[in-house]
Amino acid sequence: MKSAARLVGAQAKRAIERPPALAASSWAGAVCGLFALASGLIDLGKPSSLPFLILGGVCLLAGLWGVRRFRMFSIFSRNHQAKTTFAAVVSAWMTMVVISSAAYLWTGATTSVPNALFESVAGFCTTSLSAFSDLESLSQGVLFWRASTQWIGGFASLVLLVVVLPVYTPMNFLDSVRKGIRLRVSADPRLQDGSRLREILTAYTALTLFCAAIYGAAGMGLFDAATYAFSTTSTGGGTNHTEGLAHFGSTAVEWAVTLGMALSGVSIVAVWWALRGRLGTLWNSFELKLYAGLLLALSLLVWLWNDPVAGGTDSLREAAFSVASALSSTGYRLADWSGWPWGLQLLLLGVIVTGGMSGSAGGGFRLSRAVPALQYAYRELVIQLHPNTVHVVKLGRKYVSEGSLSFLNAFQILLGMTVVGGAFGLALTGMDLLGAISSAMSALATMGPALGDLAPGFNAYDLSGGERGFLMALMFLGRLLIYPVLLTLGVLAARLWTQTRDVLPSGMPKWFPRLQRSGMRQ
Amino acid sequence: MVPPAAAVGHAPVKKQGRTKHLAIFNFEKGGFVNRPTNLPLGVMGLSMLFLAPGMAICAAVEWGANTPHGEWPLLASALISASLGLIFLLTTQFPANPHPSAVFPAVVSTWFGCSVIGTLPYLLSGAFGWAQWDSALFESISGFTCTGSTLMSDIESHGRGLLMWRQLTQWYGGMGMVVLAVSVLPLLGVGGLELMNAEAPGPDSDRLAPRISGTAKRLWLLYVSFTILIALALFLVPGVGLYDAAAHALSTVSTGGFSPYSSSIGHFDSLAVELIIALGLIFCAMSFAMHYRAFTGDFGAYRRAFDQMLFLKIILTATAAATLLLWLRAGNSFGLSLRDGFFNVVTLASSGGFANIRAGGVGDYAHWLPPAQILLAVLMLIGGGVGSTAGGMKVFRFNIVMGHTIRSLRLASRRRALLPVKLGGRIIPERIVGRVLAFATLFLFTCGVGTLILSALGTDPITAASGALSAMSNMGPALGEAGPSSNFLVFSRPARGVLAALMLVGRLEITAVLLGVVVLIRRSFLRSRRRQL
Repeated sequence: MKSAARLVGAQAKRAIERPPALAASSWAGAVCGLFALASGLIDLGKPSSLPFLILGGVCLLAGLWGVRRFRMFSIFSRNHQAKTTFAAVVSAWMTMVVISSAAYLWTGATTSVPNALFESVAGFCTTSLSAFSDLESLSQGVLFWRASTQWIGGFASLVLLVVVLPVYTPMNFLDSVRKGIRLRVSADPRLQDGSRLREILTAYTALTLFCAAIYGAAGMGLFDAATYAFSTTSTGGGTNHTEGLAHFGSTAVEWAVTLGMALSGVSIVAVWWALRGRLGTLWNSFELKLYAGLLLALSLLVWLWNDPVAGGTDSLREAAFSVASALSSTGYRLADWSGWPWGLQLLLLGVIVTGGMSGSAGGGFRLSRAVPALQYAYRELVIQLHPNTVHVVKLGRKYVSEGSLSFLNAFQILLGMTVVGGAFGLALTGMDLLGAISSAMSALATMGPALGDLAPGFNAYDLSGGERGFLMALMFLGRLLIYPVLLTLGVLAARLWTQTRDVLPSGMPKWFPRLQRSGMRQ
Repeated sequence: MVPPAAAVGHAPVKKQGRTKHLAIFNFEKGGFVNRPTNLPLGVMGLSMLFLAPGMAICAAVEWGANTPHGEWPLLASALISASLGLIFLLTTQFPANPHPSAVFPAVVSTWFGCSVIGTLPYLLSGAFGWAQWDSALFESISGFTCTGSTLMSDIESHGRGLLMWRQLTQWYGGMGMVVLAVSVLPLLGVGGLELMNAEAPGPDSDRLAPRISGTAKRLWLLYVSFTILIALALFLVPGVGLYDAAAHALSTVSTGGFSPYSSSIGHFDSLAVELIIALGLIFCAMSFAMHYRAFTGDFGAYRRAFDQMLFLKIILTATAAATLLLWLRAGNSFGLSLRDGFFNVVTLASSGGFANIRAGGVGDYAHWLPPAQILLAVLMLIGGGVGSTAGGMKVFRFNIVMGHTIRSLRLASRRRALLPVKLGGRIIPERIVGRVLAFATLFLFTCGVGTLILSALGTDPITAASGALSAMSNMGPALGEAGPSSNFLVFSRPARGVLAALMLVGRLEITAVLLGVVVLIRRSFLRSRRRQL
């Protein structure tokens, strides 16, 4: 963790006048406006064109005005308090969801507000769940907009992962990050943020272009190649066709998508190295080697273990596709794994929960966190046997600090508790036991398909309103890595409490919940 | 490693302190001489010696019941057990001050050895054929680890003595054979505490007396008196005979969950029996050291034990939630919901595993609503109090894990704050927090791996996951196909082996088993280390 200087004097005043939450929301609005304009242009001549154009124009103008009006010297400055930055993150996502829901409702893609909300949340949380049952009836502009929401969500989550969260939670082990995208403090923070964002954007765009190119080469049309590239790179997994990639019926397309998904699960920092031609650095990355090894090993395992007689797959292509989809938490549905052996299904669920590399847009616990967590547990075992030894947990060749390990453990427990809470909620609103538990895991990992009620072949439009509500909450928590959401909620609750406690009678009974202030002490 | 002396051409050096591995019987001295110091064999022998009277008592029960099953299998197993124990005990000697690493193999081998000896009554009486040795071992391990998962489908068809042995295995395992052994081992210095800590549930056992053996004796005394109390209470209920009362008291005080009836407690269909057993389970799922202090006049012990009181709060909350779910969502009457909710919440939270299924499948939690089942699984995971006979992760650890998680949330907002984890106002040292977190990780990881292996062996996910969790937390019945009205025959033979291993791992709180196995492997491959054993 870098040392944080407190804001003083004129800077502090500026921070109050120009809250980062408004600045971040303005940025989000402007970006969304840009993509909405593009969707409107694609639909030119259709009835859904005008709403997109008007909405896009308004959002773009309002966003640009807001960016100018609320511009701070740095949105993601280390000098902000965590609650300020986290509020900015949450409100940016909220803004995007609201704009997107408005777009769906206005263009007539759906008439129900919950459907529009669910579709938007799933899009910006890069989960491949959809509330739309008939994708073929949607216009190309709406489809492009759907893919764009995922692409924007993926980019925003990369910014969150690489730029924002490492400042506050010491648990993002990005492989040798200093050699790739810069994290060092430079003299001018604005310049530094700008350059980091530019670097992420460059790598992300390059990956998208590469995906689009190989999809085009494999036989997709221009529109499909672009939208599928959007939803692959962001590990979103949204499709333009109800039957998904089976629509193309082409082996080449499926292999291309497999490659695209596998690349999307790679850390954006590693992609940046690859762009710069630093292959030696790539080879030194422990996490990358682990990721590639897991991809290969699991694909072979799924291929060999499956029994085609019992409804499993006998093609390496489907096996590799499913493993890449699960490991990168993309969520394209190709093979219906509900016919596979139970062991494989649970293995796939485990892969979904573990997730890909730490700096990727995918979800889950991430490899570079899972490995130190296990090493930590193993270390405690050895310490009991040899109490006087000193052990250091290493990831590849790098030491993992004790603070990070402690945080890591907390994050892991937090994920577990969210899964249990989500599963309880989903079961309460009507899912069966297996469906509830696996869907909670899958939604928290921003994947989508699961076992039981959400097995490939089913989708969210079959679900009740309550189930969708819990799924939305889980996706949101999983995409923002829990901490920003919980802290923002906590700050809101504390504010509500401080404003209402004067109204309440002073002598509250002993059992009445009291707000502990111990965390506020310096 | 230094190459052997002969290989480099020097004169062979005298082997220093090399222990001979076989004792020699000396007729003149009338005993064994040259006894090697071997902690695992010694403790195992002592524990087997303790099992023999239990088997003899069961033979007496069989004789008294006068059924056609015959008492000779139990007598024969008592004889074998006693003689094996004597041989192990007489041919080895205890080390004066065993190294901590010798403790884990001792505990593991004791538990495994006793489980193997515990299969004799099943095998000799023909309850399980010799070809089904693995089923007998499963039943035995399930008994000694106080799990209560059974492979017997028609329980009533077996002899009363054998069924009493089944209950007794749980009783032995509840407080622990090693604690029993330690209570008569005044020789052990530091190692005694290590031995007890390695077996007793919880991070550290409380000392009740200056000597370890004194602590162990007091614990066992308390344990026996609880058993007698519960048996008396059960005996007072009309319709419960002495045999029933004794049998259920044995598995209640150990939070084991075996019953000599297929329908478990549902056999009596009596609210009084359910209440007595539920209260007994709650009582025995809280620290015995705390009870001991309270019984010797220190009533503040209850108030001080914050985590034990938290267990009560968890039970209350979960009962309320389960009752509401059963009453409002499933549409049962309020009284029935409260009765079933309370009993099942208690029996799962204290890792007892009794079932109160009455006629028509009333009270079978495998048929509860999915959210209620998730609630039960969470209770299973949390488990009972530290220092009790209950299994699971333990409330103490659960509390620390929660405290650490909440602290991480605060740390994310206050990067430079130094925040302790507190339990009832007391600051928990970071070393303990770290150990507890590692334990939680290992517990969940072992459960996950167990689930994967079980499902790879062909079990459906819910049965596999709940079976693994139930075995790890020594609960007994699981959800899905292996529910309380079913038995563990739904698992394939290799899957039962996995479950039995998970039970041992869970009962000995993971580290003991993992370290014991690691040490044993290292010992057998690294000859130079043998001396320490």
